[in-house]
Amino acid sequence: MHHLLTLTVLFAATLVAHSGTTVYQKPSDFIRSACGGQVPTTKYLTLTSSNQSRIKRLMGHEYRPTRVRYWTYKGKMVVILDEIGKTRPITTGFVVSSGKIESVKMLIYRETIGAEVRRTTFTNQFKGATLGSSGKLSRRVNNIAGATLSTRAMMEMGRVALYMDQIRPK
Amino acid sequence: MGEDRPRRKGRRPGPRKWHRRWHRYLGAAFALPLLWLVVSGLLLQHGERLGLTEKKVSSAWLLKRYNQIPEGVPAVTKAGRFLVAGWGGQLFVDDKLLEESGTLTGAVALPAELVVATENEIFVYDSQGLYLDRLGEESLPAVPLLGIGLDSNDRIHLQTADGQHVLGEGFLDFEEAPSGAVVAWSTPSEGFNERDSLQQILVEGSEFTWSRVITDLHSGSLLGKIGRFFVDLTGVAVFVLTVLGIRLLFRRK
Repeated sequence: MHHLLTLTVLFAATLVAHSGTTVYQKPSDFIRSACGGQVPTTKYLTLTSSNQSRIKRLMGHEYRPTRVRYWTYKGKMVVILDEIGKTRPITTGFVVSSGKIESVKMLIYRETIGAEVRRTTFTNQFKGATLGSSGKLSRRVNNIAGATLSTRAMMEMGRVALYMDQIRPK
Repeated sequence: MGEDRPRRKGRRPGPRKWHRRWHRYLGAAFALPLLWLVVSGLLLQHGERLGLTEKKVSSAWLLKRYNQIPEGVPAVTKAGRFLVAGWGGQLFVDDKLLEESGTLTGAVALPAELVVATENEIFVYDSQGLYLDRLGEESLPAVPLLGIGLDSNDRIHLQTADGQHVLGEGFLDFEEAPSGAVVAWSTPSEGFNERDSLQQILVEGSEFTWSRVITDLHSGSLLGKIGRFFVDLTGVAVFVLTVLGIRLLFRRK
C-alpha cells in the first residue's frame, strides 16, 4: 500500500503546468537598441496586391495586416513582424541593412513549446542573409529539433523582412 | 517454490491468499477504467475510417472544457454600425470572430476605418473588415490602454496611466491631448444578450475534431490533471494485476 502511495505522489509530481505569453524584450526596447537609444518616426508600407502575391510565395500566405510599420536609422530598417508558429503568433524584430539581415531577435513568444528559437545560436544564423531571386535565404538555417514550426515561421519572417527592405521607399 | 505452508490460527493470511485478494479487488476497481481505455483505444485506431478526424465537435459543453468558449460575460460596445465584442481574450466584430486577440478596452469607428483597442494593442480594419494596421506597445504612448474615444474632429484619444493622448495622422505618432477636449469614450458593457450568439459563432467556427476528444478521453486529459492521473493509476493497476496474475498462475498446486 505504501508503494502505491509513493507511486501516486510521483505521478502527481509529474503533472506540469502550461506556460503562457513570454515577453523576451519589449518591441520598443528592441527598436531603441537598434536605433541609438530612441524610437525614430514610425513609417509604414502599404502592401499592394502584387506585394502580397510575392509575400505569398515567400511565406505561403499573405501578410496580415496590410500596413507594415517600420523604423529607419542610418540606412537600416527595423521591422517587427508576427507569424503563427503552430497556433499563436511569434513576434520577432529584424534589423535589415543594405539588403542583409543584421540582427534578429524573438521578442514575444506565445506558444507552449518551441521557444528555443530565441537562442542567439539560432538567430545568429540569419546574420548576413540576403534574399535570393528564388525567394530563399542565402544562408542555410539549421532547424531546431522540437521547434520545427517556430523555425519555419522565423525563416518566413526573415524572407519577408528582406523583401520589405527591398520595396520600402528609400 | 510456490507451496503454501499450513497456516496457524490467528496469523496473517499467506502470500497466495493476499495476492488473490489484491488481484480480485484491483480487477474489480479498475474494470471500468480499463474498459474505457480499450474502447477509446479502438476508436482511435479506427478514427479515420469512422470519420472522427473530420467530424467537428459541436457540443458547447465540450468546447468549454477545451476553453474554446470562455466563462463569464462578454464585453460589448457599439462603434458606428459595428458591434464589437471581447470575450475571454477573443474579439468579435458583428458575427465574425477576429484572428487578433486581446482584452477589449473599446472601439471607435472613423468614416472609413474601425479601430479596436485592447489592453496592449490597437487593431485597425477598413469598412469591409480588412485588417489594415496594428499598433503595438512600440506605437502607443503607454500600455495598458485604459480607454479609447473620439473627439468632435474624429481624432482618436487614448487614456493610459501616463495620461490622455491623441493619435496623429495615420496613427503614426501621438501627442498629449489638449486640456478640456470633449471626448466620447467607448465604454464596453456586459453583453448578457449577446452571449448566446457569440457562443454560437465559436461553436460554428470550432476546429476541434472528435479525434482530438477521443485522444483526450484515452489519455484522461479531457478531465484535466485528475483524468491524466487516473489513467496513469489504471496503467499501474494493469501492471500490478499482470504481476499478481502471473504469480498466482505459477503458485497453483
